[in-house]
Amino acid sequence: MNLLICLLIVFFNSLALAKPVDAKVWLKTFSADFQKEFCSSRAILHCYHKLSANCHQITDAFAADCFKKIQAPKTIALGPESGQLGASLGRCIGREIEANFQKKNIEDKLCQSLF
Amino acid sequence: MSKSVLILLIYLFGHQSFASDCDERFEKLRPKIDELRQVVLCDPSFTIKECQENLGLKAGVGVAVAAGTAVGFKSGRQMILKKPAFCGYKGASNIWKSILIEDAHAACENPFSNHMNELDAILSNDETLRRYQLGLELEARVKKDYPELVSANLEVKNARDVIRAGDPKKIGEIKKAFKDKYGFWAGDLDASACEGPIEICKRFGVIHYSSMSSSDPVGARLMHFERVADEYANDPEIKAKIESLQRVQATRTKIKTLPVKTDQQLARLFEEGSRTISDPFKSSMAAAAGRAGQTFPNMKEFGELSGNLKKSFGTYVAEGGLAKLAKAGLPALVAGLLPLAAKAADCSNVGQVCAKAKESIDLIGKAADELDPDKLLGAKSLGCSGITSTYSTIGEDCNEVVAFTPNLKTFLLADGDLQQSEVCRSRRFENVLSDLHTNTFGNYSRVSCGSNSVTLMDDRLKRNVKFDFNGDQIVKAQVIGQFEDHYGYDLDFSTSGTLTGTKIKTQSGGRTFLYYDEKKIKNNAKVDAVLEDFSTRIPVALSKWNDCKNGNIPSSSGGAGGSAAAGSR
Repeated sequence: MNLLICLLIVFFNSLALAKPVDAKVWLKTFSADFQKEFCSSRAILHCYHKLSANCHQITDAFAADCFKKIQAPKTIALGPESGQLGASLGRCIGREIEANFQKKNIEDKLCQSLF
Repeated sequence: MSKSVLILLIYLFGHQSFASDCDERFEKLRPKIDELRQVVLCDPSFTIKECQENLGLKAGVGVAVAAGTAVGFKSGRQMILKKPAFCGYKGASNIWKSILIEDAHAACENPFSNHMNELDAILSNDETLRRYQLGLELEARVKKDYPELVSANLEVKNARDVIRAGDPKKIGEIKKAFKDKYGFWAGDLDASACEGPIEICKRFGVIHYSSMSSSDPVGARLMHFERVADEYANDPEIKAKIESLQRVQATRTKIKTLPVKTDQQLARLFEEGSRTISDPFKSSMAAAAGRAGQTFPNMKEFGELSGNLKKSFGTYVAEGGLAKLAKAGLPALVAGLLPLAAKAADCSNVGQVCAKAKESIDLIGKAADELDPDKLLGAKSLGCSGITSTYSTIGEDCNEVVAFTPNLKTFLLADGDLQQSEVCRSRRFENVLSDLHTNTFGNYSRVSCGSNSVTLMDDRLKRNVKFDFNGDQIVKAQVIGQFEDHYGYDLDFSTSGTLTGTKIKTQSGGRTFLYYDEKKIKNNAKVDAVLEDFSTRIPVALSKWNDCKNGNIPSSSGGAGGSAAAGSR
């Protein structure tokens, strides 16, 4: 019975959660999620010089810069909008890395530019 | 609800990553860079430019940019703030993710996802059927072209007992004789342990696995494509079948990869799907297109498409197409995919197509010995209703009906992943739950805080509801005011998860004891009403309790009939 109650508690509160969240909270959470996956990517480690040692700090710093560059809103709705914003931010971080870190293993197909 | 409460609730409950089939699709976008070329999945039907546009990437994209975009999209989309911690029930987090309706839709990536999921599910069934039929064709060709392999298979089967006895000498003799005769050896009834030229082993696999009664005959035939399709790729008949299968696959790839953002794009996908779909699935496709038309009423294309598909399916049924399919030896598993029976009884009044479908089902039932009626009747691809939610009912007009009934409670209690897929599948759930939410949240005009309680005053229904808290856990709820045939009710919660209830008969307090257990909750309408009434009040109570604790609402003595009030809205 209590389970049902909990379910309903969670359910009703959930309906309120799609409201926008503060940009700072969003960015902090994004950065943590992003660097966890991005920095463990085999190709990122394999294809860029000097990135593996401090990838987390670097992406964190780029994320903050890029967040300003892309002029993110002050509040962000979780959901599709959040995904699109994440894609823009991730693309910007990737560009910064492309611009600031020398490529290695360029003969490897894995490290060649797409298209 | 105030912003502070909202933020607090976000922190309390947080978001959870989704493990839905929608996410599985998204997982294909995972930026494992070594799979990135597959991730971008630009099948031949797209130009490179289209692929770039679809992915929002420009020419000359480097690995880091591509990875950053994909990882960023994923990170942003399934934002995780904090894991749910409030209830502390095992599995709550799993359930949480699934009933977060709006995010469930977000997991489907865009507002068109329901319809795309439907289209993909139908095409997936079509793909399976096509692969199966192609498998049968390939099997027939192999048997015809390589009769010695049929003999070899029989020989292996006949030697089964000797092989299984495990005498190395005897096995060696059999193996040698077999190899001398056929040029390969297939092991102990296991074609995967085949020793010999790969082409022969593949052909032998076609014959061997299809003939094994203990194996999955449908699954075996689905695999024939991988085994020998290349060998027969220049055979005109096989080639045509492969090409049509590839067209279905190409459409499915587009569904998975194309970021559909407009109703026109969705209509184009449906149109493409309708061009490739095989006859037995046209009814499902018609229903899916019809639903897309309801969602996007300005797009007349959906209605036209639906009408054409219905007509075409009707013709197919009238010409005995389904029966032919059954007579071709269509096994139950594949038959279960067809858009036939499931609720044919419900649909029998709605028109020619359904009636014909039902007749055909009966015929199939008689024609196909291996047909399992339970499976057929359990199929979710319906002739009339297309893909519907498991937790809805189908009306005589074939409309899907979802209401806040015990059925919906079953949905709420279902496995999280299942809930997720249901939400993605049926947007009606969102409508029903949202209506309930709106109706519930609009009723509280006054709130009163106590030291360990909060009282909500529902002026519209003239009910006061007092919730007692121990920390953040509700330990007691008391509703005073006209309710059903009595004056109110008390509910007490124990930590063991049991709930006892007291029905308040009169305003002066005469009471009748009730004990609620799960069976009664399911079967007793009055208990259901109490719980439903109560459950709709919980979220308000919790949010107001947070307001009380944060000092946003002045404290008072509180009480179920308390009159102190402070508007919080």
